[in-house]
Amino acid sequence: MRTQCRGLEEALRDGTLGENAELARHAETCPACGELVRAWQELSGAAQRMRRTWQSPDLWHRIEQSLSTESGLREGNPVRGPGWYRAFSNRWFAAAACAAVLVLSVSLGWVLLRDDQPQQSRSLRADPEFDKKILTDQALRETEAAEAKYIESIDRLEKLADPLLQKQTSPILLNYRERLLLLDDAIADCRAGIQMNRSNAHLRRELVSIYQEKQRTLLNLMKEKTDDQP
Amino acid sequence: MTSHSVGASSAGDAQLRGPARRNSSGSRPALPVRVRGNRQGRAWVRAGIFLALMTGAAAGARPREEFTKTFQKSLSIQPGQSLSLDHKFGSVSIRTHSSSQVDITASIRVAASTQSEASSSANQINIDVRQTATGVAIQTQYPERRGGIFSGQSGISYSVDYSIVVPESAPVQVKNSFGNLTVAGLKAKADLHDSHGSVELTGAAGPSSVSNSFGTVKVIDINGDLTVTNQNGPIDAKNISGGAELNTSFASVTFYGVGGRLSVSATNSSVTGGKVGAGAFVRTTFGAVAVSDVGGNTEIQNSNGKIVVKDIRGNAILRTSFGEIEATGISGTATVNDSNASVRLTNVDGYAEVHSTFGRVDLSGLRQGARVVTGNASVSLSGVNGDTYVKTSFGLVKAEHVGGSLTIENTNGGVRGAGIKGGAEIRTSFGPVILEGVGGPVRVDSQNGSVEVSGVAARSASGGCNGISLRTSFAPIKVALSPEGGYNVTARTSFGRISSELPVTVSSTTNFQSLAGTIGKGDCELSLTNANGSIDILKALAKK
Repeated sequence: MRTQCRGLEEALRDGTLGENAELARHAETCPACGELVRAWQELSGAAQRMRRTWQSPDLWHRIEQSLSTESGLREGNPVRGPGWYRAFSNRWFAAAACAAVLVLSVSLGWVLLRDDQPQQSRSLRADPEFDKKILTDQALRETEAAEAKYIESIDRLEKLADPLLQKQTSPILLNYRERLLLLDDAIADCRAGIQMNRSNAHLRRELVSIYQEKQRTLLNLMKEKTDDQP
Repeated sequence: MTSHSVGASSAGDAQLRGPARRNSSGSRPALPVRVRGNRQGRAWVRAGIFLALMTGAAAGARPREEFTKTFQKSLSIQPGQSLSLDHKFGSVSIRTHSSSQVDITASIRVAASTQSEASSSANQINIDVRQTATGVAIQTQYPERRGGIFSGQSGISYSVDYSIVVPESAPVQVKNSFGNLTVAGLKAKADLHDSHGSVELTGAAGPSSVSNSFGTVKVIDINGDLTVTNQNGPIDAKNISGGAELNTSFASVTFYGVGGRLSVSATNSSVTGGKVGAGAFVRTTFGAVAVSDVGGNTEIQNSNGKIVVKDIRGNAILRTSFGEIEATGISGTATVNDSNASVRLTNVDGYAEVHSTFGRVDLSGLRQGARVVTGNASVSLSGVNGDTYVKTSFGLVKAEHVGGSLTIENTNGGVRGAGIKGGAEIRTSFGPVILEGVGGPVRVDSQNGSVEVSGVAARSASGGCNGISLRTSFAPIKVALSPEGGYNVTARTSFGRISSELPVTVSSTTNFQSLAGTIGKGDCELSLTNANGSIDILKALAKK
């Protein structure tokens, strides 16, 4: 029993429970395993709820800046230590920098050359509709970046709008509140779908359009507030 | 019952095509980095990270592999049998033909990080086709999420799109989500439910229904009744031979050509349309309503939105607030209720009743009279063929060409009446009263406002005596009378004077401040009462 439960734990971790029919059957009848599955599901649910995507457009910039600062520090404060160490350090960094430039050149070349590849592939592809149905990795990244921007903007607007919505003083505010709840429900629907189907183009377009609508609604709400003020 | 499916375990008689593959690059997610150690060490580590990132970017993190599979199946169904489909994550397109065949094509597309993962996942998507006593039932079955490959952690994405051809006489039921749905050319009923996708139904017969949320609904050419329930999505319905019930929120409703009765229930929606055969009921909020050419009674309830109606062949009930009402061409009665906005009614064959506040009221071409109760608003009536009653405050009342009697109660506002076929009874304060041409008795009770009356017929159409009674204070009274008329005059004022251009046979007078006597035969009452104002009886100019 315990061995099987341990096997179950591994299957849950690896995500291979669906492939092991015997183990899945056992989990349905064994109380200990059932509890384990339930706890795992709860944990997965919580983890999915906590999952958040964000952009880090400045990360590379920060690393680069940090590297150049380090380099500047080295120039101002030469590397301490024996001469052989200093020579080795400088040589190593020079080599690393050369390697970096080389890799960067190769990467850029690859990226630029790659631009032609999809066109060639497309013409040869059996299913030209594929990209309309399932986003390419590039399109997915762009979509997620757009979503992140919307979330950021919406978070800011919600903070501003929240005190106003809590008042519920007029039909129009109640109306805005109802609309925002509806949009939040729809966002939750879409996100639940995306958890299962991350690059599905329809889901992604739908989510972005609902974010747009929510942003627009919050902006209109803020405008209402501004118009109300003398 | 027979069942056919295609999936990992059973390919059935599906026709498989693929794989179609292509790689594309992706970069690793950027993560916050925390490095410990001395400065020199940190520099080393950072250089390493830099190289690692560059290498990762150059190599592409995990390429995407595509797999496309096509499922095809044909079955025959009997007359009266239906097609049902339960689906999600993809579009559905249903067309019709005259044969009894149901032709099903499903395009299954999966993207994953490896080719084998993509193909294995595609094979786990099951198109379950069952032939039952009621017809053909299709269901898209995705693998269980729990612990399976579709848990979302393995980066698998998928889409299943249907193209189905059904007999035109077969009823169709579809439930879909996260995909568009189109049904065309059906000569049977359709029940379509979608969410997060657009729905287009072109052609159906019998009572059909469409529900959706977060997507547009477009319905054209329905031979029968139609019910559409949408949420946060617009509705467009055209050429519905039966009745139409259209419900939505936070989006527009448009319609044209509804043979039966129209019912629209919406919130935060504009409603626009025309050509309704048998009456209309529209309820919405925060959106404009424009309805025209309705062949029956029409009721529109709105708030915070404008109402415009035209050519209603029946009674009209129009209610809103904070939005104008414009109605023209109503063959029955018009009942209008508005607050904080203007009302404009023209060409109403029946009686018109208007209640409003804080908005101008303009009525013209009313063939059965009108009753207007408003506040803080001016009222203008023209061409009202019937008795007319107006109550307002803080606004001017102007009435021209009234075919019946005119009764006006105004507070803090003036009154101007012309061409009144019946009598006129005016009560007002702090505003002048001017009446020109009244065919019946005249009674004006004013405070602090001048009164000018002219062109009052001595006798009404029935031959009765048209008495005149005018009362005010702190302002003059002027009445112009025809020399042919005969009046029994009683005039009284204080701190003013009484004068007459017509000869008066005086029976008593006191220092020009009270007068009793007769003009002509003296058969009609003329009572003029003022305080702190003069009274002038003028000779009316002869009619040209």
